[in-house]
This record gives sequence, structure tokens and C-alpha cells, in this order.
Amino acid sequence: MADVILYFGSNADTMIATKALKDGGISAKMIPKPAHVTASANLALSVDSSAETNAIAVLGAANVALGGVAK
Amino acid sequence: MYGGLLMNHYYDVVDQAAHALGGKAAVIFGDQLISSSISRPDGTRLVDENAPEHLRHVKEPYSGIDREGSISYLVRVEPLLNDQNQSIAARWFGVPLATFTDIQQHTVNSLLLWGLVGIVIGLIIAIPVVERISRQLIARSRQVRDSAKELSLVIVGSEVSGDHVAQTREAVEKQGDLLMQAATEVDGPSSGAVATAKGVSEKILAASALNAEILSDVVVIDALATEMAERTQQAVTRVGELNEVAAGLSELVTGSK
Repeated sequence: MADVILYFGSNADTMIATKALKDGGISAKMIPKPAHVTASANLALSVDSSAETNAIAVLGAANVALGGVAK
Repeated sequence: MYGGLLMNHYYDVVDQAAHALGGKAAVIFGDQLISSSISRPDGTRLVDENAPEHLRHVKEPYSGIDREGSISYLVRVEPLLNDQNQSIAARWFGVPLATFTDIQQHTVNSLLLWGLVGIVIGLIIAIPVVERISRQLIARSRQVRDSAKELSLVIVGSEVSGDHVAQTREAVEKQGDLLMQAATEVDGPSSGAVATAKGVSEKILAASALNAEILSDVVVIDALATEMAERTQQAVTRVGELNEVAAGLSELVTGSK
């Protein structure tokens, strides 16, 4: 399955999101922000598309503001 | 007769005693008050009236409450003794009980009033002080919360960076293995030149894909390093602020720096 890109308001939020997803048992890889994504952070997270819903739920529970999702 | 004076209706002694000590004075002889400075409600002297039962023929000094001429008194009654130490009459001295209750009421009222005034003054002084201390505590609390958030971010960042470096190292090792396998296949004996070339080509392609991933990881590590450097710098500042907070709180508690 293709990956989805989760992006955030800052690199700090991206780091916190990485930790939250790791603690939630969801595999996420930190990548440079793709050129087509508009965000103030220059880092993003790549998550398997099958885990997208769970990832968003985990981030919500951890109170991490998600900037958006790019496919 | 007492001390050479006829005491019956002789008012000088009782009036002088009352004048000297305040209150009222009387002499009880037998069952009756034979002389007194006590007034009846109509303004006449209270004399030739029966003394209360328990004050007649007293042999021991008595202190207590007595009601004469419609007024309650706090009294002291002492026996007057003759040469044979026999009680022949009694000396009555009293102060209107209302005087004491007035004093008591006045004291209670004064205590209540000044207590209330004290509480009001205390509150007027204390409220701004408590408000100032509360404001300082809120500000310090906010500093501590911000510092804790910043420091926790540094810890999270360290963990995330460590994980990412480990992933990159794994990719580099994998790439090295692929290149080594390709080199071995080129150098080693092979059953067919075409098969060898195909295998080598596949491994080099895989290594190339890994190279792109590693390059991306390096960019991420660089961004993380920059981010962490900034955050560490901020954390150092926050630790300094926490020191200030500790000193401020200490000052609040002890009143000295």
C-alpha cells in the first residue's frame, strides 16, 4: 500500500508526533517535507495508508495538532 | 449603739462610706436595715425595712447578690462584733449589679467592635499582599510549565533523533552489504556471464534506491540537528529561568534573597 504524508505546524510538533505514534505502536518514518506540501515545518511523517485512521486518532489523543494529510 | 454612736437612722456613716467607696452602704440590726444610703424607687431612704432572711444575724462575711429597693446589688455583708466577738449587727455594702453588667456588655461590645475593625484592617492590608503573591506564583508557575514543556521536547527530540540515526545506520549497512555482494559476484566464479551481470545490476539498483533513502535520512538528521541545537539552547535558558523561579519562591517563603 502507498504511504500517506502527515505534516505539522513545526518541526517540534513533528518530533512530538513521531514519539506519540511510536508509543501508540504505529510505524512512522520521518522524512523531509515533500515539495508539493505547504507547511511551515521542513519535516513530515510518512505512514502506511492502512494506518492513517489509527495514526490520526493517536495524534488526537496525544493532543498533537495535525497540519494536514497528503497522499 | 456602736462606737459610741446611735446607729438607728444615723446616716453620716453610711453616706460617708458610700461616698468614699462608691456604691451603697447600710447597717443591718436584728431583722431590719436601720440605716442606709440605698434609695427606694420614690427617692426616700430605704430604712426600717426587713433585711433578707439570709442576711440577718450573719456571723461570717457574706458576698453575693442582694435585691434592695427594686435594684439588684453585688454585696459584701460583714458582721459587726462586740467585745465578746458576738455578732450584734451587720455592715452592708453593695454596688448595683447593673454597673457590672454594663461594664461587661461594654467590654464585649468593645472587643467585638475592635475585633471587627482589626479584621477589616487586616483584610485591607492582606488582600493586596495575597493578590501580589498569587500573581507572582501564577507567573512562576507559568515559567515552570513552559520550562518543563521545553525540556520534555528536548528529551523527545533526543529519542526521535536517536531512532532516526539508528534507521539510517541500518540502511547504510544494508547498502554496504548489497555493494559487497555485487562486488563478490563480479569477482567470483560464475556459471554464466549474463546471469552474473543481471544479479550485479539488481543489487546496484537496490543499493542506489537505498542511497536515495539515506540521502533523505541525512537531510532529516540535519534538520533534526538544527532543531535540537535550537531547543537545547532554549532549554539552557529555561534552566536559568527555573533557577530564578526557585530563588523567587525562596524569597516569597523566607522573605530574603
